[in-house]
Amino acid sequence: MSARATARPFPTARSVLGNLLPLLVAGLVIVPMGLLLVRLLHPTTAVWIQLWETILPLMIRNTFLLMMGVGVITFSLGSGLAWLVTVYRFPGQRFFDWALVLPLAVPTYVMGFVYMATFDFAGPVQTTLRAWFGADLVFPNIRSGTGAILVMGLTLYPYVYFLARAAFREQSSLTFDAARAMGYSHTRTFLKLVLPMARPSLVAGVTLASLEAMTDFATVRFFNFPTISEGIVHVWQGMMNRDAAIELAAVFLLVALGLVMLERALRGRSRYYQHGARDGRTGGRITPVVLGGWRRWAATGACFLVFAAAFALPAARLVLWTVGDLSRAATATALRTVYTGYVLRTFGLAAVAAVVAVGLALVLAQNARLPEHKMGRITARLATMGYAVPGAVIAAGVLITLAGVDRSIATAARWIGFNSSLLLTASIVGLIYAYVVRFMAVAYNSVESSMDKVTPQMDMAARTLGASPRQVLWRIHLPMVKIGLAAGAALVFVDVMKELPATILLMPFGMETLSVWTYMLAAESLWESAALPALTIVVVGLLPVLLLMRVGRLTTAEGHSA
Amino acid sequence: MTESVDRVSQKVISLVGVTKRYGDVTAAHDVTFDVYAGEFLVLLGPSGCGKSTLLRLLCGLDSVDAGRIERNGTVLSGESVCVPPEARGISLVFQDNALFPHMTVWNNVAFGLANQPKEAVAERVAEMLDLVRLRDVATRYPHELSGGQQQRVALARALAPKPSIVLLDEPFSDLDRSLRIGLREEVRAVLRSTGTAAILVTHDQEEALALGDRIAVQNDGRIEQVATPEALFGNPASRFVAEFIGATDFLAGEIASNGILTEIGALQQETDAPIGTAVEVAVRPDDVTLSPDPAAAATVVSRSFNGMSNVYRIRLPSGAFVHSLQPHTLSLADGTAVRVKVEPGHKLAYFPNHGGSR
Amino acid sequence: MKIHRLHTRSALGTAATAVVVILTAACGRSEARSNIVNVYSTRHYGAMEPMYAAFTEETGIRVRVSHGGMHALLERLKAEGERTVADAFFAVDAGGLWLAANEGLLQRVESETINANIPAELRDPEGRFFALSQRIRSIAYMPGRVDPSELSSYEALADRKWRGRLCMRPSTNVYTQSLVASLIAAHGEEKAEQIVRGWVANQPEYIDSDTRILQTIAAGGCDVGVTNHYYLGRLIDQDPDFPVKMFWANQDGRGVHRNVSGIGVTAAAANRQNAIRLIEWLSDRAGQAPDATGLPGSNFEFPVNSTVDAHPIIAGFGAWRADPMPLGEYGRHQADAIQLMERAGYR
Repeated sequence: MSARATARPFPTARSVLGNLLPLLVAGLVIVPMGLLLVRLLHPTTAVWIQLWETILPLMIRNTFLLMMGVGVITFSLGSGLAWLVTVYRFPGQRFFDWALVLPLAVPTYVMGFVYMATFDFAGPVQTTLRAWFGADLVFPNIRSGTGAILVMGLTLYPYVYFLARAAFREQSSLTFDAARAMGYSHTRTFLKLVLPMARPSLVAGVTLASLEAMTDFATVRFFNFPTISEGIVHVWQGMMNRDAAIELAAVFLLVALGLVMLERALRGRSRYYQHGARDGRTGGRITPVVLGGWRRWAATGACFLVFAAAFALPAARLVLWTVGDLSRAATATALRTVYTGYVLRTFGLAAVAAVVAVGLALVLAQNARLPEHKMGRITARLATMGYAVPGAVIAAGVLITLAGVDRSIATAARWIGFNSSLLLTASIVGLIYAYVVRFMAVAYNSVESSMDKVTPQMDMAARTLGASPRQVLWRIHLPMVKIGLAAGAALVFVDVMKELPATILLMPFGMETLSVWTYMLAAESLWESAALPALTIVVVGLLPVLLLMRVGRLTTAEGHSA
Repeated sequence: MTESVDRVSQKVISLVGVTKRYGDVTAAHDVTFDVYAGEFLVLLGPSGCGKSTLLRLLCGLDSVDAGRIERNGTVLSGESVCVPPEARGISLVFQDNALFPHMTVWNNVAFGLANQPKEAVAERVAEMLDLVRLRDVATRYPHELSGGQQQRVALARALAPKPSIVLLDEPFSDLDRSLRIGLREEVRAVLRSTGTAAILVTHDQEEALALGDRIAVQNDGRIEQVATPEALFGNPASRFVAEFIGATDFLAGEIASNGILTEIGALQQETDAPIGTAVEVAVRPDDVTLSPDPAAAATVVSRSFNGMSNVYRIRLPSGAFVHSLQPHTLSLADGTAVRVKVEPGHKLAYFPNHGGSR
Repeated sequence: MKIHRLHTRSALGTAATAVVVILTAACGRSEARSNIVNVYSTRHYGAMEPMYAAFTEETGIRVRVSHGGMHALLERLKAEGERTVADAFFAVDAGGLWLAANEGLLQRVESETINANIPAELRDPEGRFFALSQRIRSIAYMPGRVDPSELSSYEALADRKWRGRLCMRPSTNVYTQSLVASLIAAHGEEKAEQIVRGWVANQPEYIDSDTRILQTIAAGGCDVGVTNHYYLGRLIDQDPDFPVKMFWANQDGRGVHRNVSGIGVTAAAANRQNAIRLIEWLSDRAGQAPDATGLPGSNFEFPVNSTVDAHPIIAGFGAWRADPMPLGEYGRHQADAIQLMERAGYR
């Protein structure tokens, strides 16, 4: 009895709606991208020549440097720290094990302005150093590409850390012991065996971090390091040439999709091999090594340094600023009037986007789950490609899509004698649309991985016990995936809360979010005032990070009892 | 036939000419058999023979291309008819047990009793858990149970709604051997005590012979034979059945006037084929006797000692091999020349020899 | 027994319905709004709220504000066309106001009150937009390291003696764009490019924040910088000993580079009268108050209404004479200014 035969779907699931719906969902995502690409067919040559002769080469170079730099830093920090906390025991190891994920809650632009305010020429660090060592002290200029890369690397390394940590834990002690028995040192085992085996996770983590760096436009603006994302906003707003910006966005889209394929290729077949490794795992986890002497303190020191730089410092700085800002009576009153509004708007938007994204992800995952539905998996892959596309690019695509829809609606309305005032473009539909496109992958991955636990046999068992397909959904699927759904919704919620470029471009009337508030104030160097919204984002962002760690722990615990 | 089948010779399930194709593959080809009330029928066949397809068709998870499936005379599957799984009264037990991990044992068992009054559900669940001796773990979750316990829960869950028949899809193959034998005896006892008909799907012929009231042997989508274990063993209807059941060797032979001539002598038995027909005779180790004889042309190739007996592998002069079952007291070294005789004391099955078989 | 056909309602339908319901609910339109004026504003939150509150108290008209970057809001106005909800467009840069007017997004307004409150050179000649506060972009310097006598004009910052001593705002900033646009208007493109190239040759430190430029000057990171005057006003308000001084540039020539924040009524305004009331109110004595209750005063800007004094801190910067160049020039040359800076290698 082949797996294929057992896993056949019910004939009943092949309803027209069931097949069409996922395609519609994918279409929602693909249409804006498609419309963007179509724009490439009619390039505005003059603008391209101007761009190419002036800033474009610099932006391409910067984007490349940024992604490479962030890739290298996140890879080194992420895999190195994961190795430390997984294999060695040293003071504080249990704390750092989870605490090193916390920077994930700090958006890059928040980290950016905190570092800028702290370490630039007029900032407290350089001022203090000059006071100690004299005014001639030369400090590297943080307002530079190096500064941007360092700051983003520090913020984004947890992507690699989190995945590497999970991958290292999954690895069998047997392989590890075998290598040690053959005379490999710990370090050599790590480099020759553990790292290559964890390749799929590492590649995925580094890709995620690099894509995040590519998407960012605010941090690089703070650091005077124009990238293509920044360039799209610049061409759009600075040069007042939306068509050229859209073309630039389209080219950028091609590059992003290319990167995703590259990542798939790099990860390639080894993905399965890792799954296999997990299933066939024998032996326990790698036996931890208790460090002694100076090494233990070196390990503690390394972890502490990264934790302090990437989380403790910015968090403390935000708290102090917030306290300072609130202590001024005038600001406090002004804040009281607006703060609640910002929070409610932001949370409302994020909640709606999270529910929509998870709902649509459920549709996609239900479809892709059935092994027979090859189309289902292709559909899902297309529908989740937004994670690789910069927010500004998605905003551009969504805007031209909805503008087209608006025009059609207006025309149609006129035909039947109504004057349509339906304005998708200026409503939160556009914003939520962009969020859903951007973060569908986040929702989908959570839903899909929890759906993995629901075997086709469970469906069959439930059906033969008298449950209709709808009852199977409500009594088996939803209860089993609800934690995955909740986790997915929480992750989307936080991502939406942090999102900046698409929000700035598509923000409807009176719908500014915490992230926009933060950015606008930070861009004006009103750091004290920017601290409260930034801190709010960080604190709320911590919740799903902690949840993620908890779920991670549960998974490993289940792995043990099974 | 066993007693239970004689007692109530009423058909619960009938398959008539059931055919199912997936693309070019015919997974079920003109399958016809019945299951009687209280009967334990084993569907036996090698991997990929179409057993699972039959299960899916029986459950209504797939529709038939031709033929029909009836329950107590009502058509469940047929041309343009496919009663959905939830309305068939057919339960399933899987190899991986497919318990619902988010429900307690109690709730798993209660799952199929959704539309009944609370007290009735409680009573039935308790009854089922008592039946499989798992009352004390009712509040636990499936992952807190052992593999054997999980499988018993799966059985209780399947039996709770009083199905007309339970389908068991290789339910023991994930378990350790020691656990497996105990559990399958228990499952059979439970089914017998409730009088529920069952179809067990397996590729394990030993399991089939031990459990089945009757056995249906399937090969390549077709049912080759449906019979009691004894009949199947003694009178295999096809070479495939003979080969699949009991470690059978095939000896080339020729029909003679008073029996069949083989290289180790003539078999005295009635035949219904024309004299001179080339045949293959199905010979099992217990049919073959041997005695050491330096002058004999056959030799012992190897011995496998099973405690109570020795099974010898013997090369015949023609190069063909046969196996012989001997008491543990007879111990012969490899290479010993032996005289081989076939003395079954019963008729041996034979099949037309289309050449090539040794 | 019921015989079922080979079909079922997919459970997925339920999810789809939910999604549609949410989306439809989300795009519901707001009700008629006669007591409302909707403002698209590039001005940051906070500063304007007290004025809007006072306006609402006096007139009963509620002010709803949508903030955004200037170009984002312009794009928005353009995309929305007649269907826009905006009644007024508030920008903190004359260039943006001119661009909006030039795109036909603003309509002509005739109001005697407004004309009496705001002098002609601070109004669009065609009545499409009105300045509400004046902001001077000039040269900030560190006394001690720079003698004011060394300073003269924006153009003179191209002199080699300022090499390594300049802090400038990047070209993405609209204030920089307007300043360079004024150079083009004054000198023509060729000469303007020469001047900008001179700045670039002095290797300025680009800092995308006027406040930070001033702080960097104070910390010794550079000696002079070009900033809007009110940022210095804010810093002095927080710290009366803040050492940086403001030098009014080009006083011997065409005058200092003046920019404005201002407002116009949108072409498609549904609440036109309310928008005009708002402009009248903001340009009147209450709206122009030199303290925190007035639009210029709250931000240390100079009022447009000549009957009102400036905030004492900025009054202390001394008197100035502005370049009489029409405000529309900044917008007219903005695109050229950006391209010029790109060519000249100005970040």
